Amino acid sequence: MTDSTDRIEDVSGRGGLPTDMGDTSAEVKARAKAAAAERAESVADVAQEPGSKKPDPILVVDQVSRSFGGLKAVDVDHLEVQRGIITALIGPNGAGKTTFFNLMTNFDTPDTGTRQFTSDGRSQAGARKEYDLAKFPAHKVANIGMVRTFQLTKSLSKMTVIENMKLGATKQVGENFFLALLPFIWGKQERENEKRAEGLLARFKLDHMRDEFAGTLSGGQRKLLEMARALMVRPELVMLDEPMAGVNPALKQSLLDHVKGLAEEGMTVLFVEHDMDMVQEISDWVVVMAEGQIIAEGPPAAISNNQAVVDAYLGSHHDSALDFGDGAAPVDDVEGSNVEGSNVEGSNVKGDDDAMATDAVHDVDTAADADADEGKA
Amino acid sequence: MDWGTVFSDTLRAMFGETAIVFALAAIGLNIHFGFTGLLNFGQAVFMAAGAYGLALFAAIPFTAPGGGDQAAWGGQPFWVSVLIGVIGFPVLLAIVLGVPTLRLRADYLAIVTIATAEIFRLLARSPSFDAVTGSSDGLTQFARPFYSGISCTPSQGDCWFNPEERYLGLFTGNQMWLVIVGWIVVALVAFAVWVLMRSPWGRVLQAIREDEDAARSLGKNAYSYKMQALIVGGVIGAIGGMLRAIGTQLANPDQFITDVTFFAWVAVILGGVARVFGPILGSMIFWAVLAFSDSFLRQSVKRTVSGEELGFIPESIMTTNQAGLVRFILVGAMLAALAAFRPQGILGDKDEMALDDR
Repeated sequence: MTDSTDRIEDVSGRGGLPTDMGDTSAEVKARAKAAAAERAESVADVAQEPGSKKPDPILVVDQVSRSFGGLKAVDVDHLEVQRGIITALIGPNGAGKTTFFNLMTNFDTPDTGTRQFTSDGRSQAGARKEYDLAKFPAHKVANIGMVRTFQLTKSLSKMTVIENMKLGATKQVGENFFLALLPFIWGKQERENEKRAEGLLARFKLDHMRDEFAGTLSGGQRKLLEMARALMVRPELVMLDEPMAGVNPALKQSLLDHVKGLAEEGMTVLFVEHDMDMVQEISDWVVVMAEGQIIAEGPPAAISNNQAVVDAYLGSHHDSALDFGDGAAPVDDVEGSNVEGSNVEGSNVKGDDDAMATDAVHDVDTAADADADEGKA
Repeated sequence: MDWGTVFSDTLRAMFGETAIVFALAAIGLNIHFGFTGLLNFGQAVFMAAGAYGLALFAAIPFTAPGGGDQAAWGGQPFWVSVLIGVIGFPVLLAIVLGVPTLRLRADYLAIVTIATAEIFRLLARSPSFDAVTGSSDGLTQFARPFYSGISCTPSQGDCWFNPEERYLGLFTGNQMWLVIVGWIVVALVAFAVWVLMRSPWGRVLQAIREDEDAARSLGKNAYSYKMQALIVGGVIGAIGGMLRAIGTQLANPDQFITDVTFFAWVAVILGGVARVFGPILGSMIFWAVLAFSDSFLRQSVKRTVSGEELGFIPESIMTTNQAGLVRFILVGAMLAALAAFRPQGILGDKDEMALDDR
């Protein structure tokens, strides 16, 4: 019992959260920087190639594929997600990112392959435990410590913000029909959950909307609510599907801080995002998908200069990013264009625009290219 | 115009057996649709489950005048039959309906329920099962234990309600007893629903109504909760159906036609969807309006009673017989007006309703 209360504190406590600490911003920044450096350190030795082994993977995906008719939406040979860091999943539209999320959380069932989630005991009683995700239907995935959000925000419009939050708590006694009839049995737990929900609402700056219907929230506030609600689950792995889409720049910054906050509290974050600035700023590791496959992996700086990635996704030409030619495998074609160098100029210019292409990065550029080529071979 | 009669007809409908029965059916539907988002277009079959559950087993078996057994399954103890009607049949029915449909979109349940209600009614009517169901005549002689000891003939001494006396100027002794028991049941059920909908269990149902995938992503087994909601709403509907059978002392297939389901729907929408007291208020008002317009129109039609000319509506517009149908036209007009001016129902919240449009 003591254990579980400790864990409540662990997640709901505001430790490591810039906004709620009384510290000076300099101290906060320093701490955040140190935490980020620590996270980066944990994957520093990992090979920058698709399917590379991680020192402490929370999620291991092997040979997972899913077809819709003739279209192979997801075909991942191997992927490991490192525990405790922020991993970004990027790729062009239709690359299979959301399908991949659905497969991980069992909202969709893969045709082949295995998915394994390793809990460190943070959200579950007991110690480290491995779960074969095939045995956990969507609603049980949350109970072992994995929670996801949706690309199209799913706020529960006709429920108040606080009810939305309280829904997220797992193992509620009052969710049993017969016990629900006896409020004195679940009342105490309900009040605890409410307190925790209020803490999270304050942290996400939604406390003033506590008793409003979630349907009255703005789009950005709904994103915040969805993220806060996911935390009510006390997850180990938070999977965010485009958390920043359609959010104004100021709110984006605050969302970024929240995502970083999750990692600083020890949660693992896997998120899909299109905005490369955001990816650069918060992720410790980037996984690139195209046409259902993982085509590259690496730290953000290396990825944004990886030629395969630039051609498949980041490149300035919409057409070249999606047109893989007449039935040729995507990777082959990317290599081809690499040799021709047709896209290199353009993409580097894009890099300059984004103020990412410093000299140092150019060095990495070459290395990343080599890595990517190795990976493909 | 005899306003006294119009008034007492209206009151009798508002507080009588029918309003109770439809209040319960509508509370059940409100759990299905209002709180969970399930489209049940076959509430009549849950009501029939309650009525037939009691009648099939509690009826006294006898041999028909032309030979052949009747009420063949009957003769069981009253309380056992009540339990079969309130729990056994509706739970079984909900599982049979829910297992194939609740994993699918809401409209599948709608189709299956409406079909099941008709299948049941036609089977119950079928002469093939006459020995068990009494086919179109239905079953009688099962409700006596409900009234025995409560009402009695005056010669037998003290009793609570004398069948030959009128109570409140509205109800006979038997009716009064049923009305009292009925409203106590409605109050208890409404209280239970009120508690449930403020509990984490009710919260999960509402979350499923809003977005099933969101509920699942937060660890709620949507399928299981939808099944539970279907069972609970069905059981409450069955209690209503059973009270109808007890009140009319008859269980027959024509009491559970499709109209019955939609009257219950009207009560839910009229009162206010997802409001605990909405269906009760909706049912009372619906039957009050029907009874008022029926009584009013009947008295307004020109007719001759023992040499005296009464009423003012000429026969060229409406006869007394037609008055009974015209009231439904008026009720339809009332519903159209409601949809135009108060779409959220009497107890509904307009702001909440507007959220749907976002």
